[in-house]
Amino acid sequence: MNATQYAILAYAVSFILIGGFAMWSWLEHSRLTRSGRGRGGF
Amino acid sequence: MKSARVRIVGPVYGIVTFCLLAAVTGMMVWWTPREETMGDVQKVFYIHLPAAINTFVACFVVFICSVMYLLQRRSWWDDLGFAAAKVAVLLASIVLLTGMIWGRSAWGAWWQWTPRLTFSLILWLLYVVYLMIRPSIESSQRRALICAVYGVIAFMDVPLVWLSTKLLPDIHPKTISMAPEMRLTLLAWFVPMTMLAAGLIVTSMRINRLQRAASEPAEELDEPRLVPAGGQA
Amino acid sequence: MTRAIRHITMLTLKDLRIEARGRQTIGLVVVLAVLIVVVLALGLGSGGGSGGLTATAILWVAYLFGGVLIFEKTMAVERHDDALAGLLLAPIDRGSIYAAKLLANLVLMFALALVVTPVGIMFFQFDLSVAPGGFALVMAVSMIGYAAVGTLFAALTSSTRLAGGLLAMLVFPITLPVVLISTRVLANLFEHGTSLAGSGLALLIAFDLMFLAASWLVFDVVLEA
Repeated sequence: MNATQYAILAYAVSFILIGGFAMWSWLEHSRLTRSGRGRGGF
Repeated sequence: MKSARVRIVGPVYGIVTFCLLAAVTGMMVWWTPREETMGDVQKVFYIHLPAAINTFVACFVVFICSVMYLLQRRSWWDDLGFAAAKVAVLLASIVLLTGMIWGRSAWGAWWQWTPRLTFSLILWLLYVVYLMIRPSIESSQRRALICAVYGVIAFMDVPLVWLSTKLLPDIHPKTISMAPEMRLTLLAWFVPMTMLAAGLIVTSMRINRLQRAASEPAEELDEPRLVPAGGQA
Repeated sequence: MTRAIRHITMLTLKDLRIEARGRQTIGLVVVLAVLIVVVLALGLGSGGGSGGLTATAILWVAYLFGGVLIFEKTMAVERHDDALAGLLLAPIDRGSIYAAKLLANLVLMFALALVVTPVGIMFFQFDLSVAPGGFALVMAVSMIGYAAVGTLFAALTSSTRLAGGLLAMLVFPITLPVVLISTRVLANLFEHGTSLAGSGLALLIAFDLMFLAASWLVFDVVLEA
């Protein structure tokens, strides 16, 4: 691999981490607000 | 009422952050010049440094929340501290991974025991532990207390970790000469990264609050622990 | 002040007397630490190796695990039969309770080191004669820092189900700088003959003071029956 490919790899990894975290937070947040205050609830 | 406002502000904030992130990524790809000795891999620096700075900010937020929890004993502070610790670990992971990839390209090795790499690794470990111990403590008050004390001690540990890693031999680049475009791009990267960190902390915080609201009645049932943990056989 | 000192010596002696009568902790810990040293010596191809650094690193592993066990046990004594509730009711400053626990833990850790260090030195053919005083000083200062943090978290985790495992998880990352500094300082001392007056020892002392002060302050909040 050359320097450019390493740079792309680094940004890909970073964006996957950030995107994954943001996506998970968003899903979790909408699940919790939708299911109201009850425990469980699909 | 509050949630209606949040329902508008939240997505708008998210979209703005995303657009800014896209913009600075564009700046990084097309506008900044290629560094001669390292090549394109030097461009990793634009995300590496803002992520590192924001890691410290997140760790500081954990510290403040821990102190406030110890003073006030409000679950609010515990939830915010937990959210900040999650984001600190996320950002520290980015710092570590981008640093390792850069090192593989520039030094030819994924890992070198240099001061800064060792420092980031220990920092990462410190806050991963904060997250990992939480599920194994049953009582929510005990969990908050242990995490608050740990949050204070861990943050106090950070400067010592930094000074101790300085005893290791160093080959990390300290300053690199930057063209004006590079400097401006680097500064620009701080904006979406800081917004991202703040946004993620707030979102995680809201998740924590909602989860606590959902589980609190169940939690309160096993709260009075008058019986000491005697069965330690 | 004299009252505090009297309380501290009284509580420390109480813990040590319990230990002397039961001898539950120290035997267990010493055997565990010797086992760790033996396992690592065998794993590393029966010693020899690179001398200085290997021996100190392996001794550290033994001290760390032995230490966690000691901190956990001396705190568990208080949990049994609700002894802690009685202790908290007594007109004794919480800081004194912390200091007493710390002293008891330190005495036990030094006892552990007294047995394990010769074993490690023997197995790894580590030449201590270069600077025995320096070695003892660095290890003692490091152990004070480790025990300061360990005593605090032992009090916090003793009421949880996972006590020991949790304690190790909390204390190890925080003590990493101590391990790093002390192995570095010892490597410099034994391999390059540099004096101890450098920044390393000062850093260790700074670690000790900082966490002693922090634990003293926080301990008040931490001890809840």
